[in-house]
This record gives sequence, C-alpha cells and structure tokens, in this order.
Amino acid sequence: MDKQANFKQLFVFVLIPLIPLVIFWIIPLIISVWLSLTNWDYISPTYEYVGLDNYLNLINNDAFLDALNNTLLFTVATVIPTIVLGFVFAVMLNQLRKTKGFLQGLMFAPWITPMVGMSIVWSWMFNPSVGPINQVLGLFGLPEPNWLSDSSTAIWAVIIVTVWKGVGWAMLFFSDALTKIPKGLFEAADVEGAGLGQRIRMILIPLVSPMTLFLFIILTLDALQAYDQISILTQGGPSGSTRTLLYLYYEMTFQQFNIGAGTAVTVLILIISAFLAFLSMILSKKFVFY
Amino acid sequence: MAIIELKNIYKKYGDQSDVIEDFNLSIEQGEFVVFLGPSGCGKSTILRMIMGLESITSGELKIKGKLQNNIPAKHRNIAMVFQNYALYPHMSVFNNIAFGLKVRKTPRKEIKEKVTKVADLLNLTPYLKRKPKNLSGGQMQRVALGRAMVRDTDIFLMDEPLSNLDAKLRTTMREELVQLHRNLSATTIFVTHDQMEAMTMGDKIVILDAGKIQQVGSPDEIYHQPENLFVAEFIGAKKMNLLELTKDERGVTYSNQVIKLPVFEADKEADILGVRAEDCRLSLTEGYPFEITFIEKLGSDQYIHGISDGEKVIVREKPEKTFEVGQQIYFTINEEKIHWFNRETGEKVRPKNG
Repeated sequence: MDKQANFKQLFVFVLIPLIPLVIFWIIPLIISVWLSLTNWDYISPTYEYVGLDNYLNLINNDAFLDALNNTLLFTVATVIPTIVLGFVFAVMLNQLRKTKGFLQGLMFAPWITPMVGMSIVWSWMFNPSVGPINQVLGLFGLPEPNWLSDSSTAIWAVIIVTVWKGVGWAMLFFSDALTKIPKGLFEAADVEGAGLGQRIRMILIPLVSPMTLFLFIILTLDALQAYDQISILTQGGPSGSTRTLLYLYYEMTFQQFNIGAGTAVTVLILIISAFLAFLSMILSKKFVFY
Repeated sequence: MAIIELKNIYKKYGDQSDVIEDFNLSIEQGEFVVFLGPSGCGKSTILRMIMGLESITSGELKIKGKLQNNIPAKHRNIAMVFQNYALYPHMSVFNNIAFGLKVRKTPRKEIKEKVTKVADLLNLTPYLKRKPKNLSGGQMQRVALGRAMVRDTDIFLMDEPLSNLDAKLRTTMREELVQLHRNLSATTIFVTHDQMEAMTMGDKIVILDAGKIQQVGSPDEIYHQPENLFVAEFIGAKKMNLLELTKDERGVTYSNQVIKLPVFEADKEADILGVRAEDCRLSLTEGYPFEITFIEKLGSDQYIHGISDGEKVIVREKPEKTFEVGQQIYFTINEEKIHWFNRETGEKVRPKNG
C-alpha cells in the first residue's frame, strides 16, 4: 500500500516534471556531444565520425582562441562592475526614504526592457557623429572614439551596455539583502566606534555575501551566454573583436553550417560554466557567510 | 561627583507630542541605576539618547562634565548591551568580543589578552570559536556583556538585557550582573519593565511613565514611600489597595465608617487611602466588609482577593488560616502604614510632622 502510494507520488512529482527536462535538455545535450564528434553539415543525410578532430582544430584555430579571450574579458569586465556598482547603489539608495522606490524602479527599468530594443538605442548613443556619448565627451575635450567600428573599443561598448542593464537588477537584490540585516547590528557597531568604512567592510559586505555569490553565479552564466547585444551592436566585429564563444558557435553553426565544430564550442562553453560553478562553490566556503 | 547629568531633556518625533518631557537626573560614579516603567514609557529612548543613538530635541546631556548633545555615539566611549544582543552572526565569539578593539586598531596581542581575560570571567572560554547561532540564549547574553566589558570604559548601558532569557536563567544572570557590577564598579544604567529585576539589582530606581519621571529612589523608598498613585500601583508583587473615601456630615468615611484623618501639611486634601496587602488583616467580627472572590496560595503566604464596598482589595494572610471563596467577612488596616493620596493630582499627601 505504502509503496504504491510512494510510487504514485514519485511519478507525479518527479517523473512528470522530468519529461520536458529530458526531452529539451538532456537528450539535446547528449546529441550535441555526439554531433561534436562528427562532421555533419546540417543538410547532408550522412555524416562521419571524426573523433576529437573538431576539438583539436579549435585549439589550433586563432578565431577560437580570440573568442575565448574575448569571452573571459567580457565576463570579468561585466560581472565585477555590475556587482560592485549594484552594491554601491543599493547602499546609497538604502539611505533614502521618500525617493528610494522611485529611483530603484528607474534603475531596474533596463532589466525589463528587451535587450534587442536597448541595443538599437545604444548603437545610436555610440554613433560617433550624432551619438550623445561622443558629444558629451567632446564637451570636456576628451577623446571621441569610434566606439562600435574600432576593434579596440567595440568590446568595451558592449560591456558598457551589459553592465548598464545589469546594475539595476543587482542593486535590487542587494537592497533586499540590506533590508534583512538587523538595524541593531549597525547600532552596535556605532556604539563600538566603527566608522562608515569599517561598518561596510566588517559588517555589510560579509552579511550580503550569500547574495554576492548568487549574483556572481547568475551574472557569470549570463555573460557566457551573451548574444543579443553582440548581435545587434557589432555582429561579432569589427574583425572578430567582439566575437565571444557563443557568437562563434552561432557563426559556425548557422552561418557556416559546420555543426561538428559549432557543437564542439558549446560543449566547451558547458565545461567552462561547470568549472566556474565548481570554483564558486569552493570559494563560497571560504568567503561566504550563511 | 555626578558622572552623567541630564537636564531638562525633551524628545519629540516630528510634530507629535513629547515622548520625553523635562527629564532631570544625575547619576553618580559607580551607581547601578535602573530605569523602570511600562512599555512605551520612554525608558529605552532616554538610554538611547545617553548612548547617542537618538538625538536630543532639547536639554543638556553631560558626561563627566562635558556636554554630549552633538557628540556622535562612537566618540562617547560608552558600552551598551542590546536587548536582542546584536551579535554579529558572521563572527566567532572571539571576534564579536574583539570587534570594538579591532575597530580602534588595538594591537593584536593586547586584543588577545583582553578577550581571553573577559571570556574567562564570563565562562565563555570553551565557546570562543563558535558562531552566535550555535550558542544558547544565556551564552549569547554573556557574549554581548563581554563585548561591553572588554571596552575601556566605565559606563555601561543595558537595554532589557535579560528579557529574552527564561525565568531561571534570568535569576542567575541577575545575581551575576550585580556581582559583576561590584567587581568592576562601573556606572551602570539598566532598563527594564520587570520590577523584580529593578528591586533586586538597583541602587537607585527611576520610575517612568508616559515620558515623565514618577519617582527616583532606593528600592526601599519606592516601595515604602510611593510619591504618587502610579508608583503605588506599579511597584510591589501586588498593587497597593486604594480605597476611595467619601465626605459627608460626619467627616470622611469609607464604607459608611468614619476614617480618622491626620492633619495634612499646607491644607491639602486626601481622598484616597492606600494600604499594602501585608498591612491589612482579615477578621470575622470587625472592620470593613470584605467578600472573598479568589484565594491565591503561594506556599509561604496566601493572598486573599475580595471586594469591599465595590473596590478590589487584596489582603496577605498566613498560610495556615483557612478561608473560602464567597465568605462574607471583614478586614482591618494597620493605621500606621496608611498612605494618603489626592485623586485629582495623583500625588501623595503628607501628614504634618510625619
């Protein structure tokens, strides 16, 4: 009797939800890994097993190494500023009373706006001749780069857009974490003579660390999967300077129809993501207070 | 010398009426002062103003002769124990106690010495590496205390530090705190709403109600010489019996019996007679009528609750006497222990030369 009930429960609560997961995630994952070991071209009915050739080719391919480099730069340069600025804004807005909600809403707005639409607006903002950014820079006599068409600045333009979008979101999570810290802790620190800097360093930062870890993981995965803004702003260019691994995968798979090489890139992205998740779990034991 | 002086202190939030009204008090070096009052009477507010966590609307706060009104909390060099302890959850017991020293950039060796000494004194040595969430209520309370003690200060403020402990631990901690106070001889202000705590711990008790001082005095003084009706009712395991007196052609009466009034100073009038339960006796034959409604047996004594001429009256009796609920008897009053009050002003009325 009991066992039957248990099986029914197992079926309803575990197996049924597993069906879409298996169909849309696990099976494609296995097929992708398999495809990365072949030379399928997306159209032909036949293909051959080529072993690790796709992976070996990638490692010797400059485009892949550049993309890997770009991905790491893009990830580090978006995740860290987003977390730092999100935290700073959260602390600042937390001091306000009347305008707090309004300003929070304003800062959060980019997150709920579609990336595609924002990217189009930003490509106008970055326009060297009519864009407001260079006009402002010009006012102060600062250099006016050709943001999106210069291979040394294009990735920074994409990074700025990505950080701009994420800061409000991170700020909202930090704000929530801040309001959960008992007020008494700050009073106690005040009584014991801690200044603002010490209070932030010794109490605030450690106590929001679980939130920081959460944001770190989500933002990192987000950065590894960045596609929309690159597609609209630069299409991976100029001369591959904004081509990240995911964009490389897109080009290889859907422009060059080289499914084998493309899926090999995604498998590597998966491995990198898994490695980062593992790393953050280890780091969390040391730096995160629960 | 007064170490803490409060002069004409007022506190107001926005446009609301005063939370604290004309508060005047001076506290001597080494005194254990208890602020006692019901919830919302402003006792914590005053403590927080002394600490610097609340601003002072008007009036003067002086510590060791220096005006403190605009000095921020961190520069006042006062230690405070919070009601919920306010321990830092991410720090070990050691680091919690050491926090104030670390903030002040004390050398590592000195920190270790001081924390070890305090932990030893408070029996916290085995727990120094634990986080607060792995401590019992009593241990957390001692950590909070240790954090205050390790500081180089001789003024301690305590905001209901025992209210989160269970009854037995509270009694033990009460004794320990008094002992500690004797050893450190630091000036201590202790806020509580528990009169047992106040009576057993304080050298001086400040009774507050609705933001105003009702009476300042030793535990004996406030028990035996309450200055007004509030104190008379608030202090004591049982509130004082208050009998309303009426006036007729025979003079002042209670329950149709004439009451002999003393001559009061400065032609003041008394229309309430106050007497404590232990200064009344039950009698089968004489006195004021008394109908027993409830009998409270405490082992060493029994309190007989009853109604007399429409008023609730409590009488303490020896445990061996037997009474029954519903019994119609009488009670008498020890005339030497009567307190006279005026209903309108709420103040005590003193007999001339007495």
